Amino acid sequence: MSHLLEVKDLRTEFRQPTGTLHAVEGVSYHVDAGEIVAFVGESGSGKSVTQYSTLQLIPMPPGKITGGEIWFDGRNLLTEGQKSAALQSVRGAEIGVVFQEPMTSLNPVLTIGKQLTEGMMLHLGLNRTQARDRAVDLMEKVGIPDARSRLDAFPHQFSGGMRQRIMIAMALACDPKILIADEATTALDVTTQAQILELMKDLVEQTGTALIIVTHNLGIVARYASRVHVMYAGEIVESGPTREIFKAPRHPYTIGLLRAVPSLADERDRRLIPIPGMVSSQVDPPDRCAFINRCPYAVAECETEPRPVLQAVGTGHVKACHRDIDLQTTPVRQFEATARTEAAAAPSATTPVLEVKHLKVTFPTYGGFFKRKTGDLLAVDDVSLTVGKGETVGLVGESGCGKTTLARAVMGLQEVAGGQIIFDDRDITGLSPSQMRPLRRDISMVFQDPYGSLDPRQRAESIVAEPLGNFFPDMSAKARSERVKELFDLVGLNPDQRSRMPHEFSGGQRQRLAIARALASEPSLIVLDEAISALDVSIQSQVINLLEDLQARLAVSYLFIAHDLSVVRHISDRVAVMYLGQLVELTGWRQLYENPLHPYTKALLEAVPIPDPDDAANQRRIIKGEVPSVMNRPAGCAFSSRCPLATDRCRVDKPPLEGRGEAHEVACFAVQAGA
Amino acid sequence: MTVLSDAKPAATPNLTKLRVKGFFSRVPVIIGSVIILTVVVFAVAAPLIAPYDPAKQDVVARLQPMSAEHWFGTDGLGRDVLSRLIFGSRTSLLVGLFSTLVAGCFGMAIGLIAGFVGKWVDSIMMRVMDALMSIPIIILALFLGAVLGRGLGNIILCLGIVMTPSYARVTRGQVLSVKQLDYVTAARVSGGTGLKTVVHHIFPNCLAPNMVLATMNLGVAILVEAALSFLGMGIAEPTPSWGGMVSQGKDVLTTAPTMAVAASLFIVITVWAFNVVGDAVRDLLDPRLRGAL
Amino acid sequence: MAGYVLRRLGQSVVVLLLVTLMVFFTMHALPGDPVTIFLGTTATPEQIAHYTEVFGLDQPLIVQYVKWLAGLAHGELGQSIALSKPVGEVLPGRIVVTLSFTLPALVLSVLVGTTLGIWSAMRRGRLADSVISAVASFGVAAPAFVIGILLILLLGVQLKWLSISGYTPITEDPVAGIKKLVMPVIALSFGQVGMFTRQTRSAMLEVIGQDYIRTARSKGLKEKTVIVAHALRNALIPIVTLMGMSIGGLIGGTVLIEQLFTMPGVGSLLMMSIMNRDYMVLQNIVFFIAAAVLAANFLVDILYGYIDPRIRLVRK
Repeated sequence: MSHLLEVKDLRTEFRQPTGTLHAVEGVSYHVDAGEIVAFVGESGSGKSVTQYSTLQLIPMPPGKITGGEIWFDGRNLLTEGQKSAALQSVRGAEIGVVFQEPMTSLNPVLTIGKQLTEGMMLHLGLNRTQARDRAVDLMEKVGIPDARSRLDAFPHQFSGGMRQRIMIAMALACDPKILIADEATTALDVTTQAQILELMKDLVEQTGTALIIVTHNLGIVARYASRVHVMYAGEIVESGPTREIFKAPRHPYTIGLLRAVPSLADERDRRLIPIPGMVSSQVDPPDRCAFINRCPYAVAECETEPRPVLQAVGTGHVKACHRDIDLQTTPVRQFEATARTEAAAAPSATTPVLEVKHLKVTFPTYGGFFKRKTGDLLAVDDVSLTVGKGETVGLVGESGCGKTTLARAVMGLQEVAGGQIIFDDRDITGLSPSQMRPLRRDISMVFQDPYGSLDPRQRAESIVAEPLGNFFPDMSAKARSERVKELFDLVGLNPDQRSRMPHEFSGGQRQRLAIARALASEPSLIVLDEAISALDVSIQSQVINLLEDLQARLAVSYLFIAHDLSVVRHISDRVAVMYLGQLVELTGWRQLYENPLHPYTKALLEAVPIPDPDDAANQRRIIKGEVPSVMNRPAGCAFSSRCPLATDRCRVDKPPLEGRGEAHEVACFAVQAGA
Repeated sequence: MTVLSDAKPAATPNLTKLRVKGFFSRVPVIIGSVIILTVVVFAVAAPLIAPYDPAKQDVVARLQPMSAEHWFGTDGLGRDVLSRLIFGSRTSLLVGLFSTLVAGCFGMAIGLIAGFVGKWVDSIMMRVMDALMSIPIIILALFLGAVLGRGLGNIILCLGIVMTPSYARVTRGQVLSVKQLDYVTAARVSGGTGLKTVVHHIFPNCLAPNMVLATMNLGVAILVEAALSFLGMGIAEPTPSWGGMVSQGKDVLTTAPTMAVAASLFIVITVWAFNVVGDAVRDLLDPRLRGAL
Repeated sequence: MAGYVLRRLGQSVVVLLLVTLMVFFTMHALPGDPVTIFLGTTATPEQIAHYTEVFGLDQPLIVQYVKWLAGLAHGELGQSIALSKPVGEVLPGRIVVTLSFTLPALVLSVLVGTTLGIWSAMRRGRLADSVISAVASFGVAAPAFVIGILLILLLGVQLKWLSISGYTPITEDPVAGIKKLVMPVIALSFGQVGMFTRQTRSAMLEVIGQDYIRTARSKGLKEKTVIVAHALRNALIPIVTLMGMSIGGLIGGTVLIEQLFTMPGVGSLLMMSIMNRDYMVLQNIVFFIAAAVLAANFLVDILYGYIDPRIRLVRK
């Protein structure tokens, strides 16, 4: 039987000033009706370009599809031109695409209705009224309330999650046979991500549409896909049934990926095993295994042999590796210590470094004719928290929950409306910039975006030395340069690279630079604001390990802010959960993950997909609704509008954060009443 | 949140070199650079290159057509047109370069103060800039030129003031956006003072777009100078200027069109060269500014 | 939106007031005075003193300034010294002359420029694109008077199709009137066409690289629909911005054009009054020009709202 879509030996190149980038290098795969297939890989692996190439949606030039066949519906789509009627009748009508960035993928100047209906009118021959009716149906199906009245709204009037629902409605508008979801949920919050994925799964199950999921998230793959293609440097390096790929991976990269990713199902003390180094350049690459520079199993023959081809290792299971590797194979080279460094001193919550007491931060809102101040927006609402010496406190929550505002308040970068911030037994609330400055020696910060937090016109050494110059003005130039070298060593950067400019470093290396800068003045507390979320998974684990080692050696405390629960679990001693400015639960990592009490914490944990196809937890309920904007925070408990346990009392009074059991605080009436 | 690639930067070190190579690989840019070089040589070595003294009058040889002795003929006073064109490049270049410099300094100072201090200082400064911008460049230049007088320094100051607002705007915008960036916050977190942040982080990052603007504005400055001279409000005779020569040629267009055409072509070709090279410099220094400036 | 419009309007009024202040006081720094120039070298000191008093030029500057503003508010523009006529009588006729070639030039610039820009962007890298881009870059580099000179040489002197200079009101002789406008319109709009072409081209190329264009293509829309329905509207913002800016360029260009073609418009009146230090004419002309430019920019800001719902709906 022929397949619904069959791609043979697809090759896509991009012309670049430095040479030819081989983005897709001979990729073959097939998709059958009604199945869910996943493509997994890190950025630059070619997983998205592969999908765009099938529909010729890549920009040409500089892109060019140089070879291959794409069989769909008895036709080879590659023989049709990019702007041909034949291809246009496939796009949207037979194959729909949901793109990664919901914020930029909808046309900002056209109404949702117009964007939803134009495809239907073209492919299904509907008139305007019919198309609008169908659009309303679709919008209801994807879960957009008041569909008819919102038909004439513009994209910017919807949240990111809602826009992605609209994108899905649009992609499904003409009942396509295949739906491609390209990192469709990457930009969304955890709970929204889970909702969107469930929605897509249900829709394709109902309609018999095949779904291609493109993602870097192994949890999503494990939860939804029946077959997986693992891509690396433009090639499929391994593919097979999901269960087999997770349980018996046969390619070193797949194995590495599985070991590098923190999971909710992990023991906390499992040390992540990062994939060392970085992806080799795909610009005019040599004819040999592309993973060789990062492979712990590489032997001499890998150097000399041409690129490995896919070979069968089981039913429908193929891999491209010269060696016969499985999970039990002993690596021939070791890149980094696999044991977790033992902490120099046990973290101690009893000697607090930082105490936040009843902190309130407000933002003024402006409106009216003269932009007068009309009110205050409560971004952080009565939050109390301590960070002990040598301790890591994780702070999790979805976007808009106030976690970054809290961090900025702690750093003295944000005015505080109430409460106290005590650092090292000293009240630092409301200090002036000049009073705050000497204290900054002991509190430093690492930002989310390693591209935005380093001055592009400063050399690496002067970036790292900046705090030294400010806090130790008497330090000699020689001593300073010695210290910079020491810091480079400490964060695992080559000191010889210290005179380079920031753009000459990779994302992971830049984040190491930012960490070196944060460490320069030997602070006792570092605030890490989403410090690893912008990095690729294999690089993330390198940085997590670095942070853990540094803490063990220097006894520094971390306030670790993130939205990724698996990472937070991995690194934190205690975890605080925030929702719309309020702290809803605060406890040790084990209690939180094994015995979450607050309904929001439970919902968050249930939403996280676990990279294990056998994990029963993968069949959990998903919370309904979206995080409301801070402007529309419900009265009483902020979570009451989405909470399954909410009572009338919750909608009026705000539950206080109260102890329940040993070192476990939760802000919920229902839980406190013993429900 | 986007996932950043770890693969890309490996190739960057030689990218700068490639960009410089790309800069010159475009034919118009090579032609433009050669033209600019020629004009600069004309201006610097005018007395050596020019076949005649540009002020030397010859009543017998008035309004002559192109010939071997006078490549572009002579003007109404019998002066050699080619020599006057060559000397005229001095006026164009001096006014263009120095007025751009003046405008850049004024504009950056105003933009830095407005953007960094903010509040009412910002409002007042930017409203004044808006007021200057609401009067078309040529008219403002005419007006200020009449007030300041027709000396070289005065013309430079006049054009400098006229072009100040665009630099002030670009600088202010840049300050406001750089102020928001994490690396400025990081500088504060690392213990830097406000002044130090401005000097070490904000100012250097404002410099690039202003340099781009300046190279792109050189052509405009030369153009406005030519227009002023054409209207008889530019640099005073007998100093030769291209715009003035077009104006003089205009009156004898039917009998001796050579001078007007030659001077016109000098203006167009020079301004074109500066525009092309300016665009290329923008692409080289900061491709993101494409379309923004 | 209404609040935004009013705030923006208020800002324009403030800027216009600043313009009057700057113009008035720098103008009085001009060397020489209108009465002396008007009366010539033979005038006696008594005559000069007399006329200075008649025109109110002996009063303190502040008083003169306030009087001017008060007059403006009542539509009273004062007296031209050089022309011995009320400014209100001189200006309208001059404005008609200037508009008769500036308006066609504006329309031409926008229409031709945007069309060429879109066409060029669609053919990026091909011969047509290269030719258009090259011509446009020369257009941007050529001042209006240079194009004018070349036109006069070609169409007037060589081919003798059109008369070289002057102005005939269309109401008097439509054919001659229009013929005399042809060269001024082309000369004035040539550079503007180049600017619009370049701006439109780069705006279109920028928009075509956006994610939502890929989305539109992924729906299987025809390329024409993608360009017209999805790309063009988004590319309009920078084009409209340029429209606002080009008003100033066009008005500035009128001075050159009127000088070159000896037309009795506002531009030549402006030149004349600078020479004659004719304060009243000068300050009013600059005032009206600045008002026109500010009005154009104000309209552009309103237009943004219509083009982009994000601006319309956010700036409530």
